[in-house]
Amino acid sequence: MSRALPAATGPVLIALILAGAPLTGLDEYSLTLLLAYGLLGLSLALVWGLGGILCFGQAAFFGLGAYSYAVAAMNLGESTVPMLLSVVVPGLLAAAVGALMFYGRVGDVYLGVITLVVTLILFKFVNSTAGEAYVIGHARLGGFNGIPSFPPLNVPGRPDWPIVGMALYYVAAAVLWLAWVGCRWLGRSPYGRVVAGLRENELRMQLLGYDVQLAKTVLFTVGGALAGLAGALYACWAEIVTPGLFSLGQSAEIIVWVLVGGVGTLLGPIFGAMGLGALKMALGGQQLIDNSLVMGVILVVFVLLLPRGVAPLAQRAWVRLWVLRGDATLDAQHPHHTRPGSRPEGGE
Amino acid sequence: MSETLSRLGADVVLEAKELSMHFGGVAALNNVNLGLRRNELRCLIGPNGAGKSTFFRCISAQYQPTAGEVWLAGERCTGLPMHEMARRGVGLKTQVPSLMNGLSVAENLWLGARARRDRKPDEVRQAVDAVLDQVPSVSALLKNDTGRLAHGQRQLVELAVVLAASPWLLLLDEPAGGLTHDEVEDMADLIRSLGQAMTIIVVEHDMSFVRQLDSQVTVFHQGRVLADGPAAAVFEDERVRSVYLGRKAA
Repeated sequence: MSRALPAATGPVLIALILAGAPLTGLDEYSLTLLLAYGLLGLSLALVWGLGGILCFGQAAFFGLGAYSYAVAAMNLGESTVPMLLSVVVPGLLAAAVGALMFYGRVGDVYLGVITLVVTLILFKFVNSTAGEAYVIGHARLGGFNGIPSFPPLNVPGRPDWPIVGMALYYVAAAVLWLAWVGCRWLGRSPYGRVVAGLRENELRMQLLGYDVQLAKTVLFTVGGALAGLAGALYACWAEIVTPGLFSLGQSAEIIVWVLVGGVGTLLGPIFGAMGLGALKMALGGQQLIDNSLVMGVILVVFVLLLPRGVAPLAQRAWVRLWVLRGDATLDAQHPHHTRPGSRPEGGE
Repeated sequence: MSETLSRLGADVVLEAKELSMHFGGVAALNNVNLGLRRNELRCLIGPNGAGKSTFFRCISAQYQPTAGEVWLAGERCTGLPMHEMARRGVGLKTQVPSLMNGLSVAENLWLGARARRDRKPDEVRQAVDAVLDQVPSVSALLKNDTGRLAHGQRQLVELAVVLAASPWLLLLDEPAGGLTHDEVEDMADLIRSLGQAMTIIVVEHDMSFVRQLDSQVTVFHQGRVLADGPAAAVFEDERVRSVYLGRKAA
């Protein structure tokens, strides 16, 4: 017989992994950065994996979230409102760009080009803000040097209680977990099923009466807001934000994370981002091989040999080992049973 | 209003008024006037390139006509987006079945039924069940991946998905294509049965299928309406024989 696990198994398991990771002796400082990367990977997993919108500009929302946090924190001296702004500001930009693209009926290729160009524009703009004129309240944008020394994350309403070190790790872990659970719920909700439908066949969905443009704009906005939140976590971790956050390299890296982790799943891109982020950190200590070269090789290898990424492979292995173990008759009884991993919107 | 539309009287629910669609210098539709009454079944026939599918695309708003107007149930609908036409009750089964290939048949049906925004979850399930009663052969396919179905199965599933949205104007583009002889007969029965409760236009090349439907027939030729009337009379029309059946006019 197939054995279905309780619905809460996945979330509980992931919560335990996140809670237990620092106890294994891993450096919580590095782990916090990996969590921010994981959240950034999740934001693109939602937009690309669920909605089929290949966005080359997720770094724009990530960078904007980080800068929004830094500027607001410098002006307000605490982190509660800046955290909210780090979600709202990128979300608004994503809504505006998304509405222009989707209601303008821009094709997939041009959608990629537009999102890439938006990232480049922000990169160029922020890079050129070294002058005295580029000041927002007390915050100098600082051009190439970025904005250093802004207040860290603090307990809401208590600027004198900063959240740093291990506490920051656990806050980041909770944020990532909540975001993942939220995206999982979204994918399984009626809206998520509609988005999956438009990913598969936009014309048919329109012919049935769905407002495809609106559904895509909403999804793009949520993805942008999540990327902005990841940017704020990064800013709290790094305590400095620089134009490099908007770079093309950053944009490309996010796509590699999602591809390696598995497009169409949510956990895959999270662990893809964290795994490749860890690899990048490990390679950072040597000068023999360039990081970008390694990422490029990984991308080529995965596209050629494992185009669906690691997560669907792991899912299939899991189903074979656990769910269908000892049940050779299931296929005979239900020859049309759903293929494992064929429900990207529900994929974990 | 044209003579064709005038004679339909007040019960007309679809009106195409002087509809034209030009692609560069090519007129795919040229000043077409066509009207249908409530619960009328009509077949559109004509040689390839006659403008039948273009007419469907104009009615469903995939194309915005170069000139002319589309009226549904007394409301001018020209210029509306596709999803608004669907929400007003227009359902289109395309010539090449158009489905959500990465999803199961059950999920496709759910999306069809859920397209009616006023439905509660229970009503969505009921709508799916009702469609499965109408197209029973789809029941056996529910768990299948839609992308892996045979062409004939896809035809039936697409029809079921469109029906799940409960349209009152059903546009069927070659619904018998790829079906076996028995399935064609079943399809004709189904369409006649559906025609009791909704207005249906069928584009079809299979003349035996058109005869089975036993409906009014409109013949398109070079983007214009060439002939219009009961099937038997239309098939005897020398102009129709000449342009469509390949016979010389007497």
